Amino acid sequence: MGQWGDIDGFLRDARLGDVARELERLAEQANRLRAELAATAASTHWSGAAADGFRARARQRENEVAELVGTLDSARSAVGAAHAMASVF
Amino acid sequence: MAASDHYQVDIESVKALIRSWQNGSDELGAISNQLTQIHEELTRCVPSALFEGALGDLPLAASFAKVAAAASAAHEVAGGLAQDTASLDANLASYTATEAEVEARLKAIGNRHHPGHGGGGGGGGGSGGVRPPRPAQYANQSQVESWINQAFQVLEASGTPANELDLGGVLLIIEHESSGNPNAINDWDSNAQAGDPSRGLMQVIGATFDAYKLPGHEDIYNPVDNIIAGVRYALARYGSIQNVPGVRSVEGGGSYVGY
Repeated sequence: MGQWGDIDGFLRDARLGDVARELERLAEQANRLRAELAATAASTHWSGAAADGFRARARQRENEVAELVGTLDSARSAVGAAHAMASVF
Repeated sequence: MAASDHYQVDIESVKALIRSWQNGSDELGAISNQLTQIHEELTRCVPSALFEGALGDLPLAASFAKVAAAASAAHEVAGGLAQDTASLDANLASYTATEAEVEARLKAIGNRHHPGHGGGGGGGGGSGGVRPPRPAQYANQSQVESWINQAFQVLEASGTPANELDLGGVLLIIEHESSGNPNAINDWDSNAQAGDPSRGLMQVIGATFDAYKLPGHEDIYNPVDNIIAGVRYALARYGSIQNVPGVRSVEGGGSYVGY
């Protein structure tokens, strides 16, 4: 039992299932935030070169947050997979 | 009538934008902190030595690395949004200052048309409200026209033929580039990233301003100096104001493009 018992303890303490759920929640939060930022940027009444420049920057931020959502999803899948495999031990 | 009724910047919606960007930065900062904590807990509970040994078959190292990557990405975007917020704050401050200046000027015009509070004055049939001297596309159009005329006088004196100085064209450029705000600054485009943001009424970058300014007119935020350099640049590059791409496009029924 010895070593396997220790490993089982490590994995239980790591709460991989909880972590996967938490990552899912954070991905949803980031995605909601992305939509909010995009909506606010689109509803701002502002014209001129500075405004055009800002709109380009806002689109860039929207893409960055979308990428973050992708990274969080990918982390959640990876942790979820590790959790599923660990439960076979 | 508030100056913002005619203005091309709605100060309240820019304020809402700033609040939203600030909240976004705070929220992503909190997400980043949570992810960092999760990553620390994971690595504390499952020492990396085990990845290579008994847990070698589990994709733990990869999944932990992805959590760390997400923490770092969230931190970076939070920082970017905070930077944007600071730039938006600076723009808002400059718009607010211009707005106050315009309000004061319009009030002064109103007082000249309706002198005193009790003494006669009423003949013009006025309701007493403050009005711009004529319909304006933006609040300080008459002020901008006066700056353009001053710049044109300097340009003529320095040898630019009067027939090349097109008031309507320059007004159109200014309307689209800065909405008539002499303190406008574009903190977001590639020029800003290169450290030389577009500034002033005609949104010229520092290098262009330096190349086309005239002696004695060397302040990029001074509206007359800015117009002088902007017009000289436009004439040198496009041959005439009418030929500036944005002017040509608008006059042909299209939308404005930068110059």
